[in-house]
Amino acid sequence: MLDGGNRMVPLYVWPRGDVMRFEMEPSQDLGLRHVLRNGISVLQGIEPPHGRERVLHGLLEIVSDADRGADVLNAQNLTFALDNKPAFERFSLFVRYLSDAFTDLPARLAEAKTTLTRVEAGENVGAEDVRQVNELLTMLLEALERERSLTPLPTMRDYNF
Amino acid sequence: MSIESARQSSAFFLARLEAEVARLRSLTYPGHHPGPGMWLDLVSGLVDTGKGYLTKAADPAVQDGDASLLVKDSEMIANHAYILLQKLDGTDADQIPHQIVGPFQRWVDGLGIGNTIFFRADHVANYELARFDLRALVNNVNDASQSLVDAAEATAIEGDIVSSPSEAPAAPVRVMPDAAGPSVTVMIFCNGDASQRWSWQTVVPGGTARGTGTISLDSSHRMFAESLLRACPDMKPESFRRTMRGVGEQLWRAAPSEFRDAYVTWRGLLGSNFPIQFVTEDPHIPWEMMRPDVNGLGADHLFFNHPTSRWPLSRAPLMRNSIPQGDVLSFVPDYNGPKALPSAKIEGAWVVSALGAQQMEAKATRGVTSHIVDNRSGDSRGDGLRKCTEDCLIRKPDEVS
Repeated sequence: MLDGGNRMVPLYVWPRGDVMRFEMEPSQDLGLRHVLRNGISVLQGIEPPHGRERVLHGLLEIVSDADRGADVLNAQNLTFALDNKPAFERFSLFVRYLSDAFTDLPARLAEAKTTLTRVEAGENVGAEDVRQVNELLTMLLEALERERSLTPLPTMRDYNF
Repeated sequence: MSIESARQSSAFFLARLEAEVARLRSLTYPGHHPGPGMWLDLVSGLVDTGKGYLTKAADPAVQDGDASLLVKDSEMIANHAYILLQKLDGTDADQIPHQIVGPFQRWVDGLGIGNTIFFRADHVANYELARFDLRALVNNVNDASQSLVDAAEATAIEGDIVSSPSEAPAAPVRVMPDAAGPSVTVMIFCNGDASQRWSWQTVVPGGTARGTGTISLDSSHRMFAESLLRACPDMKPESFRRTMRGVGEQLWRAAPSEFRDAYVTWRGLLGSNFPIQFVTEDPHIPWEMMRPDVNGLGADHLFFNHPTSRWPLSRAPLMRNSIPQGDVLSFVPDYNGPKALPSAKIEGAWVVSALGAQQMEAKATRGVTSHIVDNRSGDSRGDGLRKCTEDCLIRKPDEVS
């Protein structure tokens, strides 16, 4: 639809109940960075500033989504990316930054999900399992920081006046 | 960059965002929709969170490593806020009238959609339905400000999900002495008061290309430049962009036809963002504001699409690759009534309080300002002003006034 100035009129809607992820570059996402940073602290036995439960919940959501994404992609569901955007994006996040680091990334994600679920439930978890999750999260965090550091600054035309 | 400098830089970024939020709150939105206000609440919450990080970083008890991390986090969250603010572009009643929003709203109501909605005008090819979800950001960031928590809860109460696509962070301007030279260098020589001879050299794949052209203006260079910008002091904010486009197109038509043809060729050869350097004897005409008016090119003002600078040959014959350090001076005009510049005054006060700048009387005439900038008075403070103008890649000293 055109208004008097021949401009298209898009509609911006904040949907109710429909869960979508925000489409921000992961390396620019402060929430993701904080949840990884805090998650690593929790696994190292350090109490985060805003409570262990909240951190583990956020972390588990990311890893669970990614694990689900890996499962469905393995099933070769072609419409998966459309139907499960959050899970697809989470799995893409790990693939993008860690596919070279781990030969079997889906398996690592599944193990991480199991370990984090047990940690959240307060169960005793083996030191090796914790170390493996820590390694996964640390490498992701480092990759994000590296990308942010190496990303060229935007040019002046990116300013809106 | 020291932590303190980075902290000040981030504080400035946040202060400007805060001022912009205040300005946007004062606008009228079609149908008095609550959506833009709620959106601005979220932005304010992000800004407050960033300010909290900076306050914490300034605490002497915080170690340098942690302080550095906090400053970086504040800059990141300021980027988030900037991105959210961009989404409001085109939403106020001046950009999209209620005559359009009203029927849309009735349509949405008729469909039983209970979401919070805001409408905006944009140059896009189709209707756009954007969904936002910032819950992960709000829930996961450390030390979220109360205002951010409140804003997030307010949207949650109504069952809305807020999100943000894309990225467009603002970046500090950096001086890089060893940077590669421009792809296009345009030399402009004056033949008398109203005529110019242009000569350009372009680095293209496989070598260099050269060209020349001449123009004759109807009036002197200075009068031509002043005629372009005469309307600026009385320009209304809503017409600013449109008027500037007109100015840019006038400049495009005034440029030599050979240059215009060459520019279209360069776009095909070099892409849309190659650097351009103007070196000109005429200190008045802002050629970098030129806006190529070519169908299908999609070009904006040169200084939007290209890294562009103009060197005033007659005033400063020696081009430099380093800038001497000087004092920081703040020139903020104090206009009254409709010409008042409240954001500029806030910014000026911030420059004085945070950077130790000297508040200068902003009544210098063009000639006096040029005198200071060119350091013809022997006053070292001119270096500071020159640094400011050159750092910001803003045209030439004359325009500072």
